[in-house]
Amino acid sequence: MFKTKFMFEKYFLKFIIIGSLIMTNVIWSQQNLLTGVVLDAESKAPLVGASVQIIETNYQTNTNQSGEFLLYSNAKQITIKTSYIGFEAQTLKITLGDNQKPLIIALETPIQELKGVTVTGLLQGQAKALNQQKNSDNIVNIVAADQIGRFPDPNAAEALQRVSGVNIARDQGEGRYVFVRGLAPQFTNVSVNGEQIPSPEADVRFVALDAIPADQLASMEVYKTLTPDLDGDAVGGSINLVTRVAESSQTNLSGSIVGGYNALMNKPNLQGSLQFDKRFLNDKLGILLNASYYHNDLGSDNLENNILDNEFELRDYELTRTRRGLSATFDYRFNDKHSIYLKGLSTEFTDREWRRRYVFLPEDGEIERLTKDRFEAQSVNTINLGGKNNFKKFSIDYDLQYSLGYQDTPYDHEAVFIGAFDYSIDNSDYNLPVISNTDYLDNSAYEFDELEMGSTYTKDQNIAARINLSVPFHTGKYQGTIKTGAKIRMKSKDLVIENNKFEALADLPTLNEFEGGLWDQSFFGNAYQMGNPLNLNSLVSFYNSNPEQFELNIEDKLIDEAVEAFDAKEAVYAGYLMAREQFGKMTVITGVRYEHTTGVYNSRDVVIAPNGDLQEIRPVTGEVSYGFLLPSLNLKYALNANSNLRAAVSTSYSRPNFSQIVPSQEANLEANEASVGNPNLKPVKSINYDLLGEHYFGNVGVISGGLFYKSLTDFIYTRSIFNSQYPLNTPNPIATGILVRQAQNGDNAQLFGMELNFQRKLDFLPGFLKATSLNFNYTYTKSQAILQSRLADEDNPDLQETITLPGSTTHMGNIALAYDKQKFSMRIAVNYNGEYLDEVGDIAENDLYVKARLQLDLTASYTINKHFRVFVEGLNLTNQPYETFMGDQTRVTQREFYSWWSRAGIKFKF
Amino acid sequence: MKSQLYLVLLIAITSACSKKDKDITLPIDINQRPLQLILDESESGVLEDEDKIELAFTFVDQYDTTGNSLEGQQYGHPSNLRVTAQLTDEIGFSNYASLITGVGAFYEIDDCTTSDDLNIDLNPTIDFTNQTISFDIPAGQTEVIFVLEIDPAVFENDVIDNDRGFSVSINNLEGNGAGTTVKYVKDQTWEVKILDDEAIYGKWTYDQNDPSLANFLTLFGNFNEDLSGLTASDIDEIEFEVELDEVKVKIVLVETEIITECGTSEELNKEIEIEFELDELTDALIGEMLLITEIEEPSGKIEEYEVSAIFNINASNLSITFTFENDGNVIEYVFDLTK
Repeated sequence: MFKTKFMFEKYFLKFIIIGSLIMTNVIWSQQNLLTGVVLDAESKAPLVGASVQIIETNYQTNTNQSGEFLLYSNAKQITIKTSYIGFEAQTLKITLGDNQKPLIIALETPIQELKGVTVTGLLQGQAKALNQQKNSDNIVNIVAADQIGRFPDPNAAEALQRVSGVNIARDQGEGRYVFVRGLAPQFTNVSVNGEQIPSPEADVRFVALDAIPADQLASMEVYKTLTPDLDGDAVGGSINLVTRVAESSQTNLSGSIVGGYNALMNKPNLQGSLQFDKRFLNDKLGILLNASYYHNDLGSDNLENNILDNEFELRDYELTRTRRGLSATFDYRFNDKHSIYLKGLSTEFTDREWRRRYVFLPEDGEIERLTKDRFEAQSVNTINLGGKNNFKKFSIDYDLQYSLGYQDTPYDHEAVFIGAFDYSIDNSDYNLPVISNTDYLDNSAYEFDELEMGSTYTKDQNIAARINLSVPFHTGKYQGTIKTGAKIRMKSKDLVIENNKFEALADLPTLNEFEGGLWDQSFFGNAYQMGNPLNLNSLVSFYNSNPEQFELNIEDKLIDEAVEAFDAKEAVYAGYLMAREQFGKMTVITGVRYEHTTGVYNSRDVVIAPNGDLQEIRPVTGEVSYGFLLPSLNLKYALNANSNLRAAVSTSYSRPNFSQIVPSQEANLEANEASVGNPNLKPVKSINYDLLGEHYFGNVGVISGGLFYKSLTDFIYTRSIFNSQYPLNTPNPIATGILVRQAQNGDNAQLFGMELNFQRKLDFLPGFLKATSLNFNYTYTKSQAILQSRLADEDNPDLQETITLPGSTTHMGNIALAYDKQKFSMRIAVNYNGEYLDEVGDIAENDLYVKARLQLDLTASYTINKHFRVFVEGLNLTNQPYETFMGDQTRVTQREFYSWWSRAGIKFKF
Repeated sequence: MKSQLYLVLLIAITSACSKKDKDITLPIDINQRPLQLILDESESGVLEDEDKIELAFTFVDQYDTTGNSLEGQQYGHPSNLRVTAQLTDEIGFSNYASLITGVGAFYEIDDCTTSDDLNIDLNPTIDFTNQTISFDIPAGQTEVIFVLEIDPAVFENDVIDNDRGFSVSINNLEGNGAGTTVKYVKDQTWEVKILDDEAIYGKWTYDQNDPSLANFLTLFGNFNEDLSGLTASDIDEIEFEVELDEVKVKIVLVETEIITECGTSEELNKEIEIEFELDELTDALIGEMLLITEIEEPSGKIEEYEVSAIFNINASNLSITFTFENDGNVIEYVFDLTK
């Protein structure tokens, strides 16, 4: 079904006209503009997120990434108060002139660790982040670059796990996807420098954050409440990754050289980074260049139980991963009021994976040997061109972005050999099933079954443009800002795939003729033997020399390539109007955002005839068009200079993944089943409520506690439609009585949670304990979703049941204890993720859960002098596995061990 | 400037370390695969009184890059080819010269015409010394059938012996492109089995006047609704033919029809035929077999049915008990057939 196109242009134009009229009424009331910069008095480094307030009107603003601020005032004589956590506040009386020069405000600090960069520099990042957090209009958690560097986190996902309310899904032990407040990754949007980035992966919109090196970032901002000037497609939260800018006219050359060891693979890893930044031409031109590289040879030993089919698997993984990051920022400040910038970020994550599997099928008397060799490169590239202009009566900022994400899998090879054996599996303990004999190690018993070789390429491009206009106004003695803006984002995404599956036309050599490669002789702690593996290159070479011995499965090729390939085009048009006003201690930010999305998706349907033959492949197109009006209200009450109470109500939404919305269909009339895409799928809508109390300590720390509640409608789940026709919704179906599975809307979900956060140096403790500090956060979530019941059938298709939201964990948190004494620093960090529902099974007893996991990491560093710091890190020191179970914890379905790994290196700064 | 140089060096060094190209063998392009010449079967059965054996040589279906054919497309080679195949593993006879009296080869032009009809010579030969056969595949042809004319006296006897036959495998291909754009499948064998008509194989006749006819029609009427309502007077003959992998039940009716085929019209008795895949056959005078057939339901869905059978052969008499489960009811049917 196709929706008629919503005439958003008419409403969008009205919105702009009304907004302009409102602004016109207030423009002429403001006359004086004050700009300036807030610096550390000693190091002259800019203080980001400092609060600058006009005492007379209580109007307050925050310094930007360069420590700069801008204030409008009706009066010429004002008193401004500048404050920054860890620094002594400063009050100045100023008389504003017509050609007011920028003000330079230098703050002093009594805290030794914050005195320039001569000591450790570690606390400065934390101070910056907390100041931004305290002075933000939203509920946000900010992790600064220096703080990232305190933990052994090689990628953005690993760094984000330290933030309260955030847990991560791992791949091969490394963090990959981010869950904010218990909601799956598709409910969180990810931006770089304020603009969303495309996902390199084909089926989804969310970004695998292991593709982005943490070294490239100045900070990471996790917005848990939205204001109208932020994109509205974020139900869980909105993550903004901020790249670095040059801050000083001093030449800064910094970097690191790191080497390490992976205990499972007995192989080294290495990492390096280099950054150059400097401001030229009297600080007008800033140039920053940053490169980083990470190389890790890792692996895992994996055991899987397919409990329902009484099958057992051993999997041995060997991987080589690299992360390359390049970023550059060029910014030019014409003067204190006008600036432009050009920012670029290019990341590439590569993953070469070798996988060797034994699949034990005791009921068939067979064992399958599967050997895989796959290379995958994921890249995210963005370039932003923009600027900011501050005029007497208004300010304007604008940005144009081009971003390209791609995932290139040039080869994905897998070979299957099958052997007949007489054996049994003792499953009395699913943690360690016992195989009755080792006959399975005889490679000569395995005969060739299948060779699959393919490649895929996914490309996702965004072109986006935005403009924001801010106009100050006052009502009585209070001052405020009206802000309005518009944004357009055009996306195109496509996946092309080639997949070839070959079977043998005649007898081929047995597996022992193709032996070779890495032989894991201590698999799973020596609990199992893996045997001499298949050398896939040897088999492919045989194929190249003897292609006539292999028959291409043409139907499978056509089906795989038809069902998976697609192309999509989307356009998002957004506009907003918001007002920010301070009434004494109360700051109110309210407004409304409107977003409209149109999309066209092309793919192909596959129909399998009743006799099992491929009947038809036909092109299919789907279109969508929907809009959302998203009002929000954020309140911040300053109990005192360092304590706030916050409350927020906002509305947001999340778009369906491409795999759910692309209208491709695969109907197998032999099996009477079909899976059907749903281009009419509506996005999930959410109303979000937040309450937070926070207090910031003068010695750079925070304690906060908050509650949140989300009410989701049109929650998406996979529905089974019994006794259906195929295709759906057509007067001329080609089949009836079919079981159709399709992602659909229709049900509600609720999520309630609580967050606690504590960071502080424990300088009230006696003696040497003064140098310890504690970072602690804990999040509790409780969720429920109402879905079609698994017990529903033809007679009761509308039966419902309640489950927890997949991905939502009840308990999660972090504890880090640090000791910082002069040049020495040490940190022990524990990250805990409670168990969570991962996949909904056919019945409740078969739901798949990820077991709770606790990871222990250790970091220690010593500052040799102002230029060099050495450090050592150990990750996963207790060898925590990734484990899943079905229904109850005794029914273990997967155990994957990564062992521990370590790094040691040197950081330098000139 | 030094720092920029360091950055460039860093990028250059790191770009080489992803292991994308390390130790990987990539397959040949799918469009570079050769045509594949193959024996069309892995085994076949010929009754001992037959006077010829046909062997089909064909090209494997290729991926149709135009997308028009979902099953793939059979292509012939643009040049003439000469195929040689090896005869091996002879059992139950002394030599090929005593068995094979002549050879032939042809291809089908359409349902009614073969290359023989047009006197197209494919140069079939047999070399008894080397035990090889050879023939031409003309340019563009996708399948050739090679015929071995055999002396039935070699195998025909009254002794039960199902362990007779020989194997065929392709061992050479000549012509422009052989070994590159066209190759034969190596180590593929077609086993020719000589089936003993003293055993279960061959045609058995069921007497339609037997009192069990109604049961016979009931049983096999489950697989073909045309049997419904028939009586003995409607039926001319009933045959039960057992081949190597297949059983055919053929009911020849008294009623006739005009059949026009290849331009010739003929009045023939109407026939109803039901085919079964033969599985789990006991190779003895007393044994079991499993018959499997597929029926297309009105909904278009294909349903599979199984009938098990126990048989007992005594000279030219076959007593067979079929067991069939339908809607939870298991029913046995006993029939006597003759040869």
